[in-house]
Amino acid sequence: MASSIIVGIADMKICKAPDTITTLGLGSCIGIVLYDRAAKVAGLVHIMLPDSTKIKQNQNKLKFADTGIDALVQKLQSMGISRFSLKAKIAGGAKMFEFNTGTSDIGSIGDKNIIAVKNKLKSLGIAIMAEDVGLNYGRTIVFNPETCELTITNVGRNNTKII
Amino acid sequence: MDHAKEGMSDIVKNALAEIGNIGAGNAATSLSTMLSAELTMSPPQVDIYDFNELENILGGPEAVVVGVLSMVEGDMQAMILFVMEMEDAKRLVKSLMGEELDWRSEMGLSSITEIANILIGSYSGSLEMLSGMKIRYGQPSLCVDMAGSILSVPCIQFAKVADKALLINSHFKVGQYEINGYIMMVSETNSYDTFLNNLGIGGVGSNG
Repeated sequence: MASSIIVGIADMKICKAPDTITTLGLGSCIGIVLYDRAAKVAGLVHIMLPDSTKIKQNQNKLKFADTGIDALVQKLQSMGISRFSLKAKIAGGAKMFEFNTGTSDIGSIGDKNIIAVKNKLKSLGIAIMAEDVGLNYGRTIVFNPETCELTITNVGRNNTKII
Repeated sequence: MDHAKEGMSDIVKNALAEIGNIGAGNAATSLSTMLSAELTMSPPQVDIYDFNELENILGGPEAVVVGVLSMVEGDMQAMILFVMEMEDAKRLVKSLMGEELDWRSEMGLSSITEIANILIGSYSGSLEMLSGMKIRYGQPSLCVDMAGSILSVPCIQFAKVADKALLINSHFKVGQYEINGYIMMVSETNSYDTFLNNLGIGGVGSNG
């Protein structure tokens, strides 16, 4: 029986086909899936903030794009998967509320997360094969390591997208 | 969490409970006047949750909820989010606009925004009164979406200072309708120090 492994906020997990891996209700956070097509193994990390070096409260590495992606890569490597066989699919980073405030970074935190995730993956040499980021709605994502497809849904809007 | 941080959280929690109490009182008065209907508000409950527990309070990460967010500016940078479950939003619109109006219509949503605006104004007024800080709050912005995605906005702010979030639960009754709403207030500064100092309890928090 295939099961669906659920990843919480500031959390990461690994899954092997035929299981799938999911994170629910992503807003400005980003879900990063790293997968090895041949091994049919995938990991997912659900990050909240772009940069651990800018925050004092940074003990939980999985809260941040930089340290969260590092932790996921290390976890996959510890399972014998080479960094060079990893590909990425990413989703999230929405701007949930519209604002015209000059001083606040609330409105742009999704964008900052997107940039930080892309920069981090680039620095590790991991290619982003597909993305569904930004815009103004929440996302639930499910990754199937068998097909390497990422399914994105929004319960309230009744829309589904496969990338 | 170590003891120092737990102590800090208790202080913030108590301060927010007090702000909430006064805010709820103010809100009840202005809402009763506006609605010319009997409105009662219970003293709000303030609780601390893990990020992953929080969304379950609102029916789970994928439950559709209504959030109204406003930014507080001036001596303090903060955000105040008013959020309620879909069933509560429906009851609120019914109590204000009558049985037949669809809560997701433009009029339904604007009545929710208006109520949220009054609640947010009452909270920021109470915050201003207790702390002596000069603050103003901006135009509220409404979003209907999954609980996880809406709560991610204040949670990200909380994540800068902690691994937990504070939730103020407000229970109110308009006529025959009981409505449950939640308020999340989070300072945008990298610590709660400014906030606590202005409430005159900063030293306690810093010394843990």
